[in-house]
Amino acid sequence: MILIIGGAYQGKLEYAKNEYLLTDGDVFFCENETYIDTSKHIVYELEKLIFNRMKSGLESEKYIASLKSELDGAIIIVNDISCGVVPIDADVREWRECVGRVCAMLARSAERVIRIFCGLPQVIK
Amino acid sequence: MKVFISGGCKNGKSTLAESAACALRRRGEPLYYIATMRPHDAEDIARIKRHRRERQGKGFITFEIGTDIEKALRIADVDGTFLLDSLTALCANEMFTEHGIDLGAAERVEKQLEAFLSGVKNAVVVSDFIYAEPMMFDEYTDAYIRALSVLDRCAARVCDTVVEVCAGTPYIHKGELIV
Repeated sequence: MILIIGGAYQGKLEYAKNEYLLTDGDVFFCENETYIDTSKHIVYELEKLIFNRMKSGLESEKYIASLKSELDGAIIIVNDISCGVVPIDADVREWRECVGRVCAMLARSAERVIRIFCGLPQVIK
Repeated sequence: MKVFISGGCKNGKSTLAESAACALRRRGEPLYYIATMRPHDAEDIARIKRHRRERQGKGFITFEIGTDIEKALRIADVDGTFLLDSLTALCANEMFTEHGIDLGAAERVEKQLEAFLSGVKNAVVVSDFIYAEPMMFDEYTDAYIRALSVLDRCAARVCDTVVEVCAGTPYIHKGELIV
């Protein structure tokens, strides 16, 4: 599994598609989803799936951990939301912390972790 | 030679950018400071004064260009070295004008920025990394963040060197940094 992380609008998906010769058809867009379709090569914006699950009263850490073998060859793309002031809204705080824990968990088992900065890849693992 | 510098706030980007610009400049060639900030209050005026004082004696010729960065190609010697500080202010000036908000500014300003960078011999461009917090903003702020990212990625693509500054320490993402 490859974890691609970085700030918003840094070109993460574009990088993944170019680097691994994939198209939008290979991408699972998390925008409105609460369960991952593991048949897709790229899982895009995992933090949004976690947000949607939270809103639906579903936990995410155990769920994502349970998909370890299905996500073995996947590319997981996450927006880094870990910086800035601690959010005033309790839900946003919980979301941010959960995303942080999930990212750290995924990075531990990832064969490669790539941070995208202004469109440029930085291999951090 | 073109250098792009970004990173968090107040961590030494401008100081590094000045050193990089001074290092790129060849003797006899002009050194320009493109000031983009349009003062809105006393705090802004004080900040501009402080920056001016810090640049004194380094040989910068200051041009105030708040919008239309291609103007620099017409009013300055393109064989000089240009320090553009910052894309953050340029982007805000282009998007939020007295005539209203231009949500489509990004692609227009990207073309101008690319023309500016391609048209000058040496440039150092400064921006701010504002992309890594839970984004729960109003649509204008979100549009601004997206617009700045378009300019940042353009600069990172065109420039020979891309540097992220953290605690005054440069991390080089691309190319070589000479200061």
